[in-house]
Amino acid sequence: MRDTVVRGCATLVMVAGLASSASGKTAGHEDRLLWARNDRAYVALADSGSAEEGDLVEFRDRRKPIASGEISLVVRGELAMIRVTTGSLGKVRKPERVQIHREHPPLIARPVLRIAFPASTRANLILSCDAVSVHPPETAASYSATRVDSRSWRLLKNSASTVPGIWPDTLLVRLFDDASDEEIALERGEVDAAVFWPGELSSRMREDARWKRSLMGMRSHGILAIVGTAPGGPPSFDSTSSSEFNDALFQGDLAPLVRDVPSTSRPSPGSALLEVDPLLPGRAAIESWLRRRAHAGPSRPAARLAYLDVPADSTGLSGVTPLFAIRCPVVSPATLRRYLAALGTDALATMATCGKTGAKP
Amino acid sequence: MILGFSLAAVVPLALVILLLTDRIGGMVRAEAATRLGSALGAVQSEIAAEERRATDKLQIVSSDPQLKRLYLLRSGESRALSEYLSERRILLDLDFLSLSDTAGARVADAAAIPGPQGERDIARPSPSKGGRPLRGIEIRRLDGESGLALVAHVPVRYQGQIAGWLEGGIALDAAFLERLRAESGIDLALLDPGNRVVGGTRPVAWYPMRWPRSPQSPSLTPYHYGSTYALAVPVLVGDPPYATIEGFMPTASSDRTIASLQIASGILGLVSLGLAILLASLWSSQLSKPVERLAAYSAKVARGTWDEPLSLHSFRELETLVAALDQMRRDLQTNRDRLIVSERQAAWSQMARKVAHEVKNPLTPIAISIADLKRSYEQKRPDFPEILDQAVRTIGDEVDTLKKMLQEFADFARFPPPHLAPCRWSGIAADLETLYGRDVESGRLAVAAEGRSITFPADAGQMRQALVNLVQNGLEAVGDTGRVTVGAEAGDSAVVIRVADTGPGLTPEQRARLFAPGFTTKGHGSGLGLTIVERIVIEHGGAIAVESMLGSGTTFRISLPLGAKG
Repeated sequence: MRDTVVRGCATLVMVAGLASSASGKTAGHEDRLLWARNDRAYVALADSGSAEEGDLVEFRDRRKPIASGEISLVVRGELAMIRVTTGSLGKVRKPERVQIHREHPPLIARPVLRIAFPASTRANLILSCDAVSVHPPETAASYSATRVDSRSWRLLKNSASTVPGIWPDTLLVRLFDDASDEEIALERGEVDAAVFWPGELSSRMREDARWKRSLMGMRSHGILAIVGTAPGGPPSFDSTSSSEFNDALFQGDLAPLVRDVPSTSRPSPGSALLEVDPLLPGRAAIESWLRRRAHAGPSRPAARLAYLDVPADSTGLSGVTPLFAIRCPVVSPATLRRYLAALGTDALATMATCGKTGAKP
Repeated sequence: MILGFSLAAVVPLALVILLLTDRIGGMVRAEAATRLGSALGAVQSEIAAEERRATDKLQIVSSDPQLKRLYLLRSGESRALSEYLSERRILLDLDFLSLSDTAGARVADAAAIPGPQGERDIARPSPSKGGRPLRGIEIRRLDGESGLALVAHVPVRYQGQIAGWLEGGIALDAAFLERLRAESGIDLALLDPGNRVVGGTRPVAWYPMRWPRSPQSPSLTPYHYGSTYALAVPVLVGDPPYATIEGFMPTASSDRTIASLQIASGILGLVSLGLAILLASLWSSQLSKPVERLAAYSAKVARGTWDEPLSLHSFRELETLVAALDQMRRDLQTNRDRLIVSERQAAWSQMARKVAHEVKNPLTPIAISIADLKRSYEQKRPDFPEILDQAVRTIGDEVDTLKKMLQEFADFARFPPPHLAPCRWSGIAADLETLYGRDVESGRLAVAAEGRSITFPADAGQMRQALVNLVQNGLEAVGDTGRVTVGAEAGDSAVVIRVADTGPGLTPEQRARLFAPGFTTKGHGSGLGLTIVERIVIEHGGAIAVESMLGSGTTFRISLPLGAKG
């Protein structure tokens, strides 16, 4: 109920601000105070997406600080609700004259970071894990991992660790059998960050303003590649086909390794028939997509689309044309994104590994 | 007897028909039970399938991320969740759908959707019972009335744990039962655990208020209710008390058929009985009439009428009997003729011997007298004159005896046939009293006063001679101290004249030879008296009988027909 009221007020203020902007009364690309009451202030953000919840805000009048606070809510990246912690904006008569200085708070190590990963039962198109194991992030090797139960790990930072930085003292990892459960846990605040397989994150989460700016983490190992040699060179995707493939099957989550190849200079999936590795769990879906895209071509497959458990930055593999690296959405509340980005989402995405997979990663 | 025989013929037939109809009824009901069993098996399968379908539908809903999101991320009001459930309820064609938390508290409910029948209102109990989720058919309130609903519960899982319970199902309403009826072909009724009918394929008023059996029986129990055959099948799973689905297979049509068969059998039995009586009457008449004629003919033969031949056409066995009887009649006639001739010859022989004896008896004194005369004359006996006189008297007496005896024989030989004329008993009685006046006065003879007015056809002279012979024999038998009684009485067809004496009676041998010519118990006489009496009676068409025991007297009874002779 409270959120609804707040959002309603914010919407009214935003509409008023936008109307004011339309009237030409705004001054440049700066945040602008729209309305303030008691300990709350509503600010129209000039730079969409730059503000995050938790950011520190200082209000100045004629270069003189009159109040400060913290962003408690960002609505659609355009409106921020600020909780005033010091000073007061009650005496402000002309809000348009208030200057707003906004800065991210300094990153500090969190005591606990709760991370969600897909469990082995979670199907995806590329990987098929019989068991998922969790390892300390490569950049923070001083963690010792303890398995709490079949779905949970506790990683405690060693007291003698010499690794400086912002890594939390404790990493709590939980595996989720269901992607929706993982999303719900994220929304319920039961986890701080959630790693999803490529293409797994729901459209709703992707479109929700709270989560749409999710981070991506590329796994250190594993690529989707074309294996085999066809007459005239190995087949590959052109840029358009690669993007369509990624968008259609993985919602664009995969990291393309294909350089910008003109569509007329290299064979497309339609000109060189690809065989999908039977070990790929999503073979049927991938083949279906390829068939829809295929035109008349050779009757025998010229190459195979397969998952290779090789370093994502592998180059020069003979007979292998890397297409995509495995990039996973790392979803978190906006307030944690900067922190997670600082930790390194690639390291987070690589923490969970398949002990034994059908695709032999 | 005819009726008895007819019943004896029809009763087994009726019993067989009754047994047959009972057997047919049993077969009809057994067939109905079989059909009911299979149909209710189909009903149970359909209900189980419906339950599975409901469960599957709930599984679809429970695994929908949107449901989880709406449920687990709800804040305060659950209107969105209720709207979601309402939408899913319509899409999945469920009658009700709701969501409860693990404690059983209802979180959201599908909004009632107005339908053709109006808004459905299904009150729902807590989805948990004793900490265990319910599953199966439950008693619910349906449209304000007590009804049954098929309920399925499916957990809503979150991170592998049960986070809530999704409850949904369909109402076992008239439409549902009608669908089951269309598939199973039988009428159905829903009974709550209290044995009350809460729904059915027929109007509830059609069912009895209380079912005549306990539905808790786990076995199939066929029974009748009126003309309806019912089979109870408990269809609930879970804990008791159970509600019950009853299957009906009305047997009214077959019962009517059986009743018609019984009625037709009864009519057939009655017709058969009538025919049996008619045929038995015809048959018995064909059998009895010849037998009756045969009996009458036998009576005639027994009476000695052997001259009339028997002509009778009947079935073979009886004709054989008739032929044998007629042959017997002819043999009797022949033998009688022969016997008559033989008796006549014997009588004449006896008569001749009697005549010779009777003639010889007087001749002996005569011969002796003549020999005495000759010897006296030759001896010149001085008393010859006396001897001559004595001899002459002796010879004269014996000659008179011979003349008298010969006269009797002559009279017997030329005995005339009777001239029947109305004869009053009073006249004959008066003649007897006159003839035996001294005996009447002495009391040795008594002529009864009764019957004096009787008139009967008879030859008065011959009848008087017969009675004189009997009275004379009686008087001679009773001596001076005995008594002879004479009387007459009229019957329907004959007059009986009785002559009784108090004499010494007869031995059986004497009684057997009593009417034989020449038989006499007296030292004198020709022995023709009773023979003449018998002959007179027979010539009158009557009969004479004698009753006598030694020491108890003798009674003669003469029966004379009141009608014409013959």
